[in-house]
Order: sequence, then structure tokens, then C-alpha cells
Amino acid sequence: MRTLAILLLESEPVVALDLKGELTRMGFAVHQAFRLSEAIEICQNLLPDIAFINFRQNQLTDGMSIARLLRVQYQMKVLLVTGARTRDLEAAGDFYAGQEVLNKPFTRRQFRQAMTTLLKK
Amino acid sequence: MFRKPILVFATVLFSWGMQAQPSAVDSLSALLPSLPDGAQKIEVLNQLLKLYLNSDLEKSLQYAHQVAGLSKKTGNRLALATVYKDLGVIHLIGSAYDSSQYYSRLGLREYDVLLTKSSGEELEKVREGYAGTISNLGNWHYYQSALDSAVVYHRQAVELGRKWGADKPAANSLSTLAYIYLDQSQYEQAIEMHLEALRIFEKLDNQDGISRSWQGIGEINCEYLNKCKTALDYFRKALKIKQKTGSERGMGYVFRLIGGAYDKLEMIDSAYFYYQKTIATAEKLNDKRLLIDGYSAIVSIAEAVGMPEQEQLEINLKYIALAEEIGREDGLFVGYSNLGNMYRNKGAYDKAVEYYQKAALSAESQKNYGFLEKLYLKQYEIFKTKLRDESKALAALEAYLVNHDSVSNAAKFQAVEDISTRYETEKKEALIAEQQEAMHRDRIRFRVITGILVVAVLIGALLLGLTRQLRKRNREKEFLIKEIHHRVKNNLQVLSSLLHLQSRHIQDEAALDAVREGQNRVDAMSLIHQKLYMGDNLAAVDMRDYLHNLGDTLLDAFGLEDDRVRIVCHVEALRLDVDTAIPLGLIVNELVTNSLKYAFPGGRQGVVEISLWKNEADKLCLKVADDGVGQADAPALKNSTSFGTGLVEILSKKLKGKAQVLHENGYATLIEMEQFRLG
Repeated sequence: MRTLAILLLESEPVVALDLKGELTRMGFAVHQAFRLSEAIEICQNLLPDIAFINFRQNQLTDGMSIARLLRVQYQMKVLLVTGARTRDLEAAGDFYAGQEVLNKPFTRRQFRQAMTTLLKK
Repeated sequence: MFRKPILVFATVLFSWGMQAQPSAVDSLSALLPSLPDGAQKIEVLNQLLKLYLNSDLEKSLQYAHQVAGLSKKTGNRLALATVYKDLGVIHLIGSAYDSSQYYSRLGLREYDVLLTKSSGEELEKVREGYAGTISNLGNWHYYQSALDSAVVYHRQAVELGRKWGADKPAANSLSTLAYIYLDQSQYEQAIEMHLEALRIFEKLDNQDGISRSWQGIGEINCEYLNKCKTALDYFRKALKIKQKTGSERGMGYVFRLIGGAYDKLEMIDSAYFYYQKTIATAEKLNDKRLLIDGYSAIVSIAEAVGMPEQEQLEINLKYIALAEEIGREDGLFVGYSNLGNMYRNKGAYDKAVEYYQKAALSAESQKNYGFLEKLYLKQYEIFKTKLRDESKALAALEAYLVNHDSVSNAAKFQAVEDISTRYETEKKEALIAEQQEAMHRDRIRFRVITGILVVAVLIGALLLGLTRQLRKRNREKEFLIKEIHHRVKNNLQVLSSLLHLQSRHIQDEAALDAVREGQNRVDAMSLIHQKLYMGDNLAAVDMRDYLHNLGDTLLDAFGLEDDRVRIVCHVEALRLDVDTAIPLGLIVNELVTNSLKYAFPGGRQGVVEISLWKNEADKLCLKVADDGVGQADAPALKNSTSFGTGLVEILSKKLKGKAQVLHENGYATLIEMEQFRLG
């Protein structure tokens, strides 16, 4: 069985380090990016199967837009970590539709559950 | 009511200020055939029309119709409008009221058209003609005794005159208004109208108008205010003007007024002198109206001034003849009565009675009961004392009594009429005052409403500005709160990751335990923040959902998700404020951790129950119970640190609660908290 590759776009280094270890233990090939440009480069060159995104640069390039880009452009399954309120996400309409979301701050159990759900999709 | 139309009559006549002077009439008449149809001929015809107005209405009417025909033929609409107006006046003087109104209306229609088409000097003439026609219609209504309408028309004429600078019709209307007020016994207002008219006439240097105003003011003073001496001053002023302008007719009328004033002042000789002058002027001008006034006046004082009997007889006969000629019934019965008096004084009682009876017939037709009463009394005295005819004396007495009653009735009727007129006048004045008051109130209301609206608009604008500012500030605050929440959540996430990373490198079991407990505490708080942002209320947490999640998280943390130990929640539907939820969550974390760590040793199965409710005493009750081995059989517990217990105690204190250990079927802790806030 092929090892699934995951793009980990997490702008917070401590959290990224923690999650990288967790994901590795879960059996993923983790490709880590701190910046958007790095993430895109990884997507173009390595074609990961899954993406974990916890990224907030500004209003224009928020996590939701990046998640949609990866889903549509690279056919990836995306787990989006967000601090946004549920009603604000719902207001995003199409961008939010079908998006797997993990609310911050999440527990380890919630993280694992979200990954399991995503893989089943 | 009889005297005033005559006065207005005079007003109308004098307003044209002309009389048929034979020389002027002849020369104008001679000029006519040589003139071609056109403006000049119209002008000459107009002059003839006016010259004949006072002496021969028929001729005046003929000339007016010629002017109308010629104006139509030559397309001179202004001349046509003017002659229609004049025809209105001629018919009014001739008592042909329907025709008068018809021509006045025609005039108005023509002037209406011209008002929109004319300019310059012609427009001024049109405006003056228009206002003059309105004034004539006011006279028409006055003649019909429609005083209200007359006032409306005259006031309109005055207003138009002021607006357009058409002073003459305005002044004429003011003069007529004076007589209308006089009719209503409003003497001060009548004088005021005369004075206003006087000011305009003076401005126009209209001598005829000035003298008429003085005459009017004098008449009110003498006849109604009993100030005949003052009136004489005014009459003299008028007379001076008439002399200056050479108006003999005018002088004749003023002589009559001066004579009347002396008569009232009982200066009979002076009165007689002026009455004679009146008659002389009237005879010279062949002015029958003035003449009969003169006769009427002089016969009333003839005896008092000692006029010879023959002269009295002659003048009375002239008086009667003229009255018959021009249809003045008052002249007839006064004249016949005077003759009766003369024959009575001479002892010719039959003749006296004959004239008294003639006078009575005429007086009856005029319903002059006061005069009849005197006539019958005189007859009664003659029949009783001189002719000794009992039955005729009784008949005369009976007639006297009937008329006496009629006089009383008439007096009563007049009094009632006066009261009614006064009442109506007062009512109208009250109505006008009320309307003015209403208008005043409306104006105030309008100003108040406008003010309120302005203030409302200003307040609205201010509120709008404030609302925008508040919205902006709220947006800023919301943004800041979001940012703070974001950072709190990020920091909690970082903290959790740090503890997790650290735990991977710890070998010592106790230290690892402590770090994991710390991690669980962070998770307990993190869950609160997560739930906060998932709900609608940023300050409250749904405790049922939260405690359920917390339990699952703890089971996961202790690796007990294999159903060996279950956590069951009995939580009321409560939303707690974040300041209550966080200490409560930490307490639950400690108590459940305690149960999971110590209650189920050696692979023992069991249940941990988390219960949260609000009791009847309004206290928030938390109970964490397990069906494990209990405190006594939990040897590991004895070796544990007291940090968790201390934490529960201090957090309970914060919520004004006290932890109570229950030794039921296992181990349970119950905390009743007083200080909590619902979300």
C-alpha cells in the first residue's frame, strides 16, 4: 500500500513540529511548508494526496481560499484548521461547501478523528 | 336705508365729475359727423356719454351703445371693455340692475383678456378699468342690499387698486365701504374708510374725491355723532373745493348739507339761507334730485322762519308736483301734510283734512307709520274739536291707535333689526377674528412643525453620524476581539503542542504523568475556547456539548476508548458564561482524571458519571461519580500529590462552592456553587 503524502501548511513552527511527528506516526509522508509559495511548489512538484492547512496571511489569501484552490486545482483532500466562527464560514457559501474543518484549538483526539474522516471521503 | 343709496349714487356720479354743459355738448355733437370711425370718434362719444350722465340717462345710454358698436367695428377691445363698464354704471343709475350686472360682467370678461395681452400704458388702463368694474359690481350688490357681497367686491377693488396702483377705483370703493359701514352703524370704521379714501384722493390731487370725503366725514359727524359744529368745518372744506373747481352741482349738494347742519344746531336762519341756495343752484342746473331735497328741507322750516303763507303754499305745491314727477313718495306726503297744516292754521279744516288724507294715502304706500300716526292725530283733533264729527273723530282715533301700534311695532322691528344687524355684524367680526386666530394658530403650528422637522432632521443626521461612528467602532472592536481570540486559540494550540513535544522526551513516569495532566488541563481550556467560537454567543458555552467532549478527550488521553470505562453525562441544557465555564471545566477535568487514574485499577470496568444541574435553591450543582473501587481501596491515591485536590478546592472557592466527598457505590464528589453566571 502506497504511503499517502500530506502537505502540512502550518505557519506556527511549534505546532508544525508537533503535528509533523504525529502525522509521521500515523504513517504519512509529510511535506512541510511555512509559506504559501512553498505549499504551491510542493503541490506542483510532489502532488500530495492530502493537505493540512493552518494558514492565515490576510483577508485575500485566507485558509479557505487556499483550501479551495488545492481542492479544485490539485484534486486534493484538504483539512482546514480555522479559528473562524461557524456562522462566518457558512457565510462563505461555495468556498465552505464540502470542506473538512477542524476548529482551533483542537485536541489530539479531534485531530486524529478529523484525519480519519477526511481519508474516508 | 333710503338716504344711503342716494349718497352712493352721488359718489358714482361725482366720480366722473362732469355735468352736461350746453356749450361743451354742442361743440362735441357738432364735431361728431366730421370724424372718421376710430379712436378719436370713440373719445368724443365717451365724453358726450359722461356729459349726459347726470342730466339725461337715455342720451348717455345712446352714446354708450354707439361707442360699443364703434369699438367692435374697429376692433378696439380696450374701448369696448371701458364702455361695457360704463354701461354697467348707466344701468345701475337707471335702476336697471340686471342689465347693469350683465354689462359689468361683459366688461370684466374683456378686461380679463386684455390683462394677459396688454403692456405699458395700456396695461395700466386695463388694470384701472378692471378694478373699477369690480368696484361697480360692489355698488351693484350694495343696491341689492347684499352688503356682504358688496364688501367683498369693494375690498377686492381696494386690494387690486393697491396692488396695481389703480388708485381711483380703490378710493371710490373705500368711499362706498364707508357708507356700508355707516349702514351697519359702524361709524368709526366708516370715518376710517373715508379718511383712507381721502389720502388716496389727495395723492391723486382728485379735488372732487377730496371734497366727497370731507362731505362723508361731515355727514357722519352731524347726523350720527351729533357733532354738527365739527361737521360744518368739514362741509366748508368741501365747499371750498367745489368753489375752486367750479362745480356748481357739487356746491348745491354741500349747501344742502350745511343747511342741514345749521337746522340741527337750531340756527334756523342760517339753515334757511343755505336751503335757499340749494334750491337756487338746483333750479339753475335743472337738477331735480337736488331740487326736491332743497324743497323738502325748506318746507320743514318754512313756518319756523316765518315764511309768508302764500310763499309756503307755492313752495309746497312745487314740492308736490316735483315729487309726483320724479316719483318721490316721501315728497308727496310731506308736501300734502304741509298743505294740510297751512289750511288748518287758516281755519280751513275741510281743506286741511283733505290734504291730510292725501298725505295719509301716500304715507301708507310707503308704510311710514310714524308720519301716519301724526296725520291721524291731527285729523282726530280737527274732527273732534273743530268739525265736531264724532264718528270721523273716532275713526281717525282708531287709525291713529292702529298706526301707533304699527309705529311701536315698527320701532320694535327696527330695534330687532338693529340688534340683528349688530348681532350679525358681531358674529361676522367674531368669525373673522376666529378665522384670523385660526390662521395665526395655523401659522404658529406650521412654524412649530417646521421647527420640529428641522430639529428632527438635525437630530436624525446627528444620530446617523453617531450610528455610523458606533458601527465603525463596533467593527473595530469586533476585529480586535477576533484578533485576541485568534491569538488566545493559537497560543493554547502552541502550548498544547509544546507539552506534547516535551512529553515525547520524558522518561520518568511521574514527570510524564505531570506533563500529560498539564496537557489535559490545557485541552480542557482549549475546548472551552473552541466551543465558544462554534456557538452564536461569544461569551457562553453549551455545557452539555462541552462536558461530553471533555469526557471523550480524557478517555482518549488515558487510552480508555475501548469501552472498558465509559463516561456518562447527565447535564441540563445550560449555557454558562466563560468565566464560570473555565473553572468548572478544570474542576471536571481534575475529578474525572482522578476517577480514570485511580477508580478502575487492574483492568476493572466501570462508569464515570458527570452530572450538572441547577437545584431548587438556584445553586449550580456538579457531581462527578464513579463506580470504581472507592477511596479506601485505591492505594495509588494515597501516594498521589494533593495538587489536583487543591486545584478543585481553589476553583470551587472561586465559584463560592464547597466540594463534598460522597462515599456511595464508589467515589463521588458533589459541589454546590452559588456564584455562577448563565450565558
